[in-house]
Amino acid sequence: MNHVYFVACAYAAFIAMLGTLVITTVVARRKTELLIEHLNHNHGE
Amino acid sequence: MNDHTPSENAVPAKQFGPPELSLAHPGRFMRMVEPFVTPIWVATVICLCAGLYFALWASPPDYQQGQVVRIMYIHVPSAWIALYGYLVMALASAGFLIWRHPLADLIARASAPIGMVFGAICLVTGALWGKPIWGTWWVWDARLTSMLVLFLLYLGYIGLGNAFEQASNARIPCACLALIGAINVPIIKFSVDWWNTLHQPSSLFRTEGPAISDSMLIPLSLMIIAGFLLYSSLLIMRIKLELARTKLQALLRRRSNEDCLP
Repeated sequence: MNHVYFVACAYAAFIAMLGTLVITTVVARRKTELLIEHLNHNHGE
Repeated sequence: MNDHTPSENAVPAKQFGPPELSLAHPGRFMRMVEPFVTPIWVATVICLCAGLYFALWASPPDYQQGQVVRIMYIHVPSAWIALYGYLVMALASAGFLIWRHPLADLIARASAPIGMVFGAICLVTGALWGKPIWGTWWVWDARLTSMLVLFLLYLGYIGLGNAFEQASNARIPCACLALIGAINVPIIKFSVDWWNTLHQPSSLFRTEGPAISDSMLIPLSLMIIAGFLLYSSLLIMRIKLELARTKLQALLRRRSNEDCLP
């Protein structure tokens, strides 16, 4: 019984979903911080 | 120079509820956890690498299931973290409803996407495990259905949080939803005991001891520890994000108020 493909798919899904969560969190935080910086900078002028 | 002079950026901690809760002021909390962020990430990576090594190479295949048993090493920790994430969310929501504590609301909002992702991993890997072993991707069995309900509760919580124009208006409905949904947590845990299900009963926490051999218990334990560490690291990351979002919303509100002035 060779079901290695099921194992490969499960681990790929695990890595893909966690990777997406980490990347979206980092990008969202960076974008929010840049927006805050931009707003503060404009206000300073 | 006066050592007791607070720095320019220091925000005085507002007193919320009992005195001991003042320690959980969002800014103070972040300063408190900051030194632990890197060690937790390092421990997460080490545990995850060791766990994956044991899970994929060093542990033996099952005598009945063969290689497919390796799915267990990600399926079981994901299910645990999905449940734990919901418990954290429900407790934080209760804290918010009782004391109106801003950090509790931030923790609940930060925990939801993490728990949702782990819930999705649990459902997907469960289907991939079920097909070769049970002969089907899905059955409307008590454990599987209650896990799907948990995933839908997470989706509902996130959707409700984004449904309001003013994010602050979503806090109370979201906290109520999280608390009502908490009834599903014991249902998931005991579903295999209360109903006849295709899903196997608990194999770790039994009065007779774990039902699996040490060669599989060690990698599983490592992956469970890695899962909890990963959840903690991600939770801190998401709390920082939610703090930045709250700050941005306050800034935008202040700007729009200033623009309205003659």
